Amino acid sequence: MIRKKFSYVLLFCCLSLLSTACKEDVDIPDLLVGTWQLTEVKVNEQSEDISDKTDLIQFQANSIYQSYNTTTEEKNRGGWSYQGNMLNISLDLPAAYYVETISENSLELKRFDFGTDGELLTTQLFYEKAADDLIP
Amino acid sequence: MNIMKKINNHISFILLFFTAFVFSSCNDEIDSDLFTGLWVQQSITEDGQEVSLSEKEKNLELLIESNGVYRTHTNNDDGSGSTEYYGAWTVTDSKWIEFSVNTWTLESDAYTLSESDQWNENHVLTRFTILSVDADMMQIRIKTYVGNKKYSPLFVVHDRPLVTEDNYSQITNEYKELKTYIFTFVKQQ
Repeated sequence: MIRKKFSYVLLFCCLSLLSTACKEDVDIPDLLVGTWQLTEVKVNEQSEDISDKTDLIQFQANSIYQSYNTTTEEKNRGGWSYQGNMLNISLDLPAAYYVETISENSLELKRFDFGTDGELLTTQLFYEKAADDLIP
Repeated sequence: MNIMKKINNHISFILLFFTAFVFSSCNDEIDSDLFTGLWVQQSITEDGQEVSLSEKEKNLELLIESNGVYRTHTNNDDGSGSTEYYGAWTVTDSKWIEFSVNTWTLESDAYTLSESDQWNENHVLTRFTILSVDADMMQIRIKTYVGNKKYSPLFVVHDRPLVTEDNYSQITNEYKELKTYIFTFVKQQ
């Protein structure tokens, strides 16, 4: 009888710990690693022309970040980290990105910037997974 | 029967204690997430007296983000565009919020030096006491030198004057006089 009661207590304690433990999402950095191709940009919900934008970005597991503009063939290298639930890319700081959605094949990033009159601009960037060798 | 009652009491106590422990273990006194978002400066008081805000101070926006970076934006008083500034922020012991700020101090006998050498820049963490913060409003307090408030970006970026023999003693006195400032921000987003 006593044993049974203690088993229930133990079960309760274990379930409580599992359900309330301080969680940190560890999947996002792993899912970010790879090369991503820009498919759409929206500023305050309005689609933008992406023909002149840097269209390939790459997150490497060793925290190296690369971007490549296939039109101008301009390539940049920097660092990246995922901290405070935000994606930091050294080339873009102090602005950082919120990972809105991420899966094996798609990625949506969001960032805030001040407009010229101080209005807060919300930029959404949509990406699809691409082959690593697209960046020379 | 008596032993059973005692055991039941012990189990109840353990359950109560454990529940309290579990539900309090993840909570800070102040949730840092309350600070994140877009704030607009509403008022500043100096030793309890409300300060008349310049246009620049009235439209100051402060964007605090969860990665530890903050950014400010103000439209310049003379209409010549806007000024942005950024730094790092942290919360310590749920009592203080620190912003990294480029503070300026005056060189001794600055008026004898060339304009570019008169002021020293130091990037330091500047600590504010958190008076209150909720989803709508944030009040923070700092006791600092008048000169520090006047010439460092707390939170508006100020121009520093050319130091001459005429204004040197006035500026040095501003760096000797301590005052308490309370900044109030209202949440925009």
